[in-house]
Amino acid sequence: MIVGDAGRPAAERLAGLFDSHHERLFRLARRLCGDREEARDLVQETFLRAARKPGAVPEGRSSEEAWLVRALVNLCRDRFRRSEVRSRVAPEPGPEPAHPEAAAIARVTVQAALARLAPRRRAAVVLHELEGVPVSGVARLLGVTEVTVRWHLLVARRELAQALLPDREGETS
Amino acid sequence: MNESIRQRLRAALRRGDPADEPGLTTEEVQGMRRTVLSAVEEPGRRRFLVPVLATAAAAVVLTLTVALALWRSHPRQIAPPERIVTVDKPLPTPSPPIPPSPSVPPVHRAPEAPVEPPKPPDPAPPSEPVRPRGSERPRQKRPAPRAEEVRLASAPNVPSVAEAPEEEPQPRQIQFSTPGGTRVLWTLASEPIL
Repeated sequence: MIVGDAGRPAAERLAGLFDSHHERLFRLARRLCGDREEARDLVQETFLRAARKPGAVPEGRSSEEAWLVRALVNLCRDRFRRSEVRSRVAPEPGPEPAHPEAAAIARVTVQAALARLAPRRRAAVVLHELEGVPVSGVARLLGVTEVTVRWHLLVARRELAQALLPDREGETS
Repeated sequence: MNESIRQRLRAALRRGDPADEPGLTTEEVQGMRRTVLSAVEEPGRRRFLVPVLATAAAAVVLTLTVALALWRSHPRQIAPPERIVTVDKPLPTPSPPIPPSPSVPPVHRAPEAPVEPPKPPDPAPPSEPVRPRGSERPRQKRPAPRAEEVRLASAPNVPSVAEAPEEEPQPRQIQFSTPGGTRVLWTLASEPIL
């Protein structure tokens, strides 16, 4: 627990927390939302939550990471709920890059498909498929059971396959 | 979902993975760090204010409680005695000192006014005090007075009253002392006052 007797120890503790986890959180936030600025806002807001409630962050690196990931996903979910219309409908195609590349197109497509998923499901897919975190690790980070994680992965893969692999819709089982 | 589709899906996701993009710049990191660490100091100020406000509120409540208690325990305003009667004629020897009530100051005798010792009290002491003419004070309910004490309504702070010894041939007398120590003697004529 981050306990600050006179505020000073809490600041030092939070500084260490920020230095250890800000890159990882930004990478996750960047994968969860399609916008770099939004990802930066999410990361800052996550650490601000830790600053406002220093006693809520548990001790230990893995516990700290789990708490931060959970806070980030919850923030993502809050934003998702506030902009429900935008997340339900396929996002408007952004301005075409000056030099369209397959990678950029693929990125936009993937981000659009991920944006349709609920934040927690999206987080499960990103953590497991892109970051290689095992199901048990995803469950610990998100604060849910492994069964729930497997369910989220099953549903997310189905939806993503429909968006990203339209020519294989009939083969899903 | 068969494994091949899963593999293809994973590949598609990794192709669109934005993690390859550059992360936060040094300026962005430093700015974010400053913002986050500055938010930590505010709770300290809040923690400082909370006990101060709590103490101030407790002091206000305590002051109000004490003021209320004092207001309730404060006796009723003493009406100035309506009349102070001075006795000209020689008075009988004063009654022996009456043991004062716990909350009442003792009666002070005036040395220049000897009073006769009291006779046995009346079997039926008066239920209400004898008032000088013109008193407008209403009757007041009170517990049965002690034999040696009669409280006068016109002077509620009268600490103790010695019942005037009854002498049929002589006029009745009532004496009392005010809180200030003034001794008052009332001599009442035997004839009824109309």
